[in-house]
Amino acid sequence: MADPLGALAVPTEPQKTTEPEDDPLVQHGGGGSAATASQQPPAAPLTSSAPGSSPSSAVLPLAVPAQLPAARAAAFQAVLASEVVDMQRLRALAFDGIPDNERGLRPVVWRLLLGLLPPERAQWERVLRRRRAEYAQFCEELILDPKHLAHTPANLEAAPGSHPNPLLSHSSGASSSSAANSDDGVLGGHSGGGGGAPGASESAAGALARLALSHDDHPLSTSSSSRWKAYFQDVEVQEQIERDVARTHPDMHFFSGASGAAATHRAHLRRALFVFAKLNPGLRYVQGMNELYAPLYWLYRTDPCDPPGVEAAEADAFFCFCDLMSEFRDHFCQQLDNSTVGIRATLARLSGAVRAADEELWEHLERAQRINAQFYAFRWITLALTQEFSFPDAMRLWDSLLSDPAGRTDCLLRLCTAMLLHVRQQLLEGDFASNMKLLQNYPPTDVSLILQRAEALKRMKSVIVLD
Amino acid sequence: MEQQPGGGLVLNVDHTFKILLVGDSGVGKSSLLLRFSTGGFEELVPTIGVDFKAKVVDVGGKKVKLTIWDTAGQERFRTLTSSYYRGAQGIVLVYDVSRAETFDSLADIWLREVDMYGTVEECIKMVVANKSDLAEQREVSREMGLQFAKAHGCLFVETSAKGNVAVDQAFEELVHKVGDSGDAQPAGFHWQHLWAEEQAAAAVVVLLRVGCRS
Repeated sequence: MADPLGALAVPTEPQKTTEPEDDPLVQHGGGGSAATASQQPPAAPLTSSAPGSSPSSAVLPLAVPAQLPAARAAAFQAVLASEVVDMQRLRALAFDGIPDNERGLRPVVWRLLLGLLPPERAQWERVLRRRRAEYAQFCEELILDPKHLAHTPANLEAAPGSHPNPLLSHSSGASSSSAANSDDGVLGGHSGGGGGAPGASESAAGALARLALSHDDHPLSTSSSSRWKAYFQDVEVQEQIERDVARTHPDMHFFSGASGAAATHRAHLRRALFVFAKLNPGLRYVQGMNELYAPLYWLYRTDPCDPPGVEAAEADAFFCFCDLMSEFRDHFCQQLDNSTVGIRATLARLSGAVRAADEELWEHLERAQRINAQFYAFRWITLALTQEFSFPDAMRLWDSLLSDPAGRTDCLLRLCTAMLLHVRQQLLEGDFASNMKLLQNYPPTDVSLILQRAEALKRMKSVIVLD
Repeated sequence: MEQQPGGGLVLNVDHTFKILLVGDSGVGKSSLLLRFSTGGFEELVPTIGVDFKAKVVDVGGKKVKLTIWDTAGQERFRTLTSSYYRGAQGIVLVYDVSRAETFDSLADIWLREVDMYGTVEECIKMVVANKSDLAEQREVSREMGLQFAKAHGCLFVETSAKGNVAVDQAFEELVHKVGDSGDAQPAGFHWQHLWAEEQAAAAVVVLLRVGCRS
């Protein structure tokens, strides 16, 4: 009954984020997480304004041996503790991996790498408050509610009753009947969602006033200015998102299953992806975007060191997702498939990289067996390897991907090339079907070996493979 | 017939049939394929790009390798999936009986794609009405599906990948029909199964042809 994003929906209450203890959502989010269970001290909290609260006593080491996680963690803390974070140094550290057992570290670093947090530490709190309010504004303005399209309750019953907007929530409970046919409920449908939304009804009234409906508008209108037409288009996008969100990481309780927490998480995914689709009409929602949003959301939602961040995970992940998409969006765009920047061009670059690194392998795959890179690497690239590796391994790969000074696409292509080189012997011995199977179901692998190979590719302009 | 099936002769896979699964997103293409290839059912992630599975089946004592291409359903992927139609001898058009719009898409989208990009003239098309277990949410009747399939010269079967209803039969029937099409039928093709009348008649034609093929 309470809206977990209630605080976001009420920009007039910015103080909300600084009082996490009062919010039941915090316990819910933290308790439902499968986050790293280390007992180590937390990383510097995002919104801490007390300078003494961050472990700034660590001395900045000149070189950090990869074998010493404690030293690596200290190096991160040192960089993060300075007034202006040295992004170059942070990238260098993150590229070699962010220690998993250092609680709260990766969420902060990723927010920096993905541009949500500026390097200036003093601005963090203000920036986060502004961005989270901005997201709340998006939600409010972009999600059409049929209730506000109709003038009278009679009109409301006429058509849209069967299409309750699952992205909208009403703390008043007035929508409970129309929400009944949503499989895992609307946002407000689960008491586990927590997070009270004291101002939601006021904001709904504001939305009604803002829409300023014409008397000619009705559910069957085909006019391009019809709010109803826009609403039904939205429903189509929402249904696609809904189907995919329901199928996001079916193996993880965080996203899947009947629990109230999972339902809340799915509701957040749906809304964030829908807001993105509305803000990017040329792209809308494309299958696979859920896979890029999910790791970001999971990371922020399960951060045990940052209760306000847990509460704002949907919003924070949204902006980070936008940053990620600024690099990868062309891969999702059908109109660019045959351009020099679309997915086909990137696949051709991969093919070229494989050829440069290992002519024999390339010859075998592409010439002899006609295994087009599109058959396997389309998913590798568009989903940034999230489906090829376990969730923790994918997070590790993303540490490098997000921080690579050479760029994320280049990093991704090197990782893909490294993946092929890593199984080259099997590929050279396999036939078409077994190789397709191998590449579409990449075997469990120590990702550090993939990263090493990718690094070797970076250092050498042309690589001679000695396997 | 030059060889007796089961006569001790070890045969390698010497025939490959290419089968393509198409249809709207979320109708259960991947689940059908998973059920057919492994016998299992689980919640699957949406297919991005294309998925591929190979399975060797026994057709009248001969081993036929099926290469099955499972495509992504969303419109965005269509420019990319068009190439997968090339050389497909069997095309499975899947819809979800609980979502009428996925049925409408067969005529509006998928049959057109087949016509546009398919390269095998004798290509066998099969309409699969999936999710027959969702009886209460059904929006497309069996009759509608059957009529549509007939009108477009397609085989028709209702399945439930989840309930394991008729999935193997669907693929089996398709494979037999592909073998029947004359384009890629294995030498010494035998029919073990009972057929509907018109199919049995066609099978006789095939058996007559078989002797001429090397």
